[in-house]
Amino acid sequence: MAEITMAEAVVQGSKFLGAGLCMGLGAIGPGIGEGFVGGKACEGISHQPEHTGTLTRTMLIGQAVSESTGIYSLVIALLLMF
Amino acid sequence: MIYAEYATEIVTGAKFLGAGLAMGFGAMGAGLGTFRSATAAVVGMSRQPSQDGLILRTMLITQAVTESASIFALVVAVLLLFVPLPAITEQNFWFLASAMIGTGLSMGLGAIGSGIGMGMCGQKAVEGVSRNPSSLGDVQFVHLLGSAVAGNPAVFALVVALLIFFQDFSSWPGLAKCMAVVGAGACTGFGAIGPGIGCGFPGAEACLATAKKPQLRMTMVRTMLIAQAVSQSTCVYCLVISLLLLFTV
Repeated sequence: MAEITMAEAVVQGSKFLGAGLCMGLGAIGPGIGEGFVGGKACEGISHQPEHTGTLTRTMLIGQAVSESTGIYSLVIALLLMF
Repeated sequence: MIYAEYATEIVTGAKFLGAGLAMGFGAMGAGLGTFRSATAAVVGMSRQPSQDGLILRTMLITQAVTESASIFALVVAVLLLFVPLPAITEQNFWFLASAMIGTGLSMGLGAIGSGIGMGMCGQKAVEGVSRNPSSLGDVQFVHLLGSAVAGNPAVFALVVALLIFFQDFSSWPGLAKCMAVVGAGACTGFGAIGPGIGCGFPGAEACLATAKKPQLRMTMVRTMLIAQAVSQSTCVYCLVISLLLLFTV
């Protein structure tokens, strides 16, 4: 391992810490949000089982949109690391 | 190295701090989860006093399952306090200290979400059983399946915590790696909060729906598993980032 200065090591380490915090905190929102959508979808399917296909499709589309900020966090974390 | 004469004290202090983080945050999971089954049991018993034995038994089963995430946190805290560490040298004590903090952060924060999620699942399971006592078997099946998936983020956090704790501490890898280890712990730790809570919602609704209409059991399980799998995706991203931080930087 090449010798680097203390200042460079702090900058490099801060990048890694930031990447971890970025993805970690960024996973909270989509996780709760997608779960809420799934819960309501389950409730809807229990009321109308014959519309399972439509409800599941709508649920997945809604969850995919909610996922978008999670993807942004992943991208920023990877950019920070590499 | 800076403060090399205090090497043992720094590592010991970090160990205690890590154990405190692990159990302190980890207790929030079961604390915010197990009360839900109890409230549902009390309300259910007030509606159907004749079924109180059945409702109490269901409540205790759901609470035992919900407790499991915080038991992981207790195990990690005890691990941090009592497992003997590798030799503390002047080279590796900052690395050891950061690993102790990372372990505690990961499991501590990781237990919160799963506890809440499993608690939500248990709440609706007890409520469903109190409304329709004959559906007990079906509801318990859906509840155990839903809680197992909702407990998955805590398992990821446990895996990362153990990976950090049992690293190779023989050489000094640089300050950047020490901060990366803390970042890896924080990543999966925080990242398990949201998916844990999020997996509780479909599990809860599936339990209640199965109680009302036991013949819909397999439809509800299928929908619940799809919803929970999508909700868990951000936890998987966090696990990947943590593993990258631990092993490739």
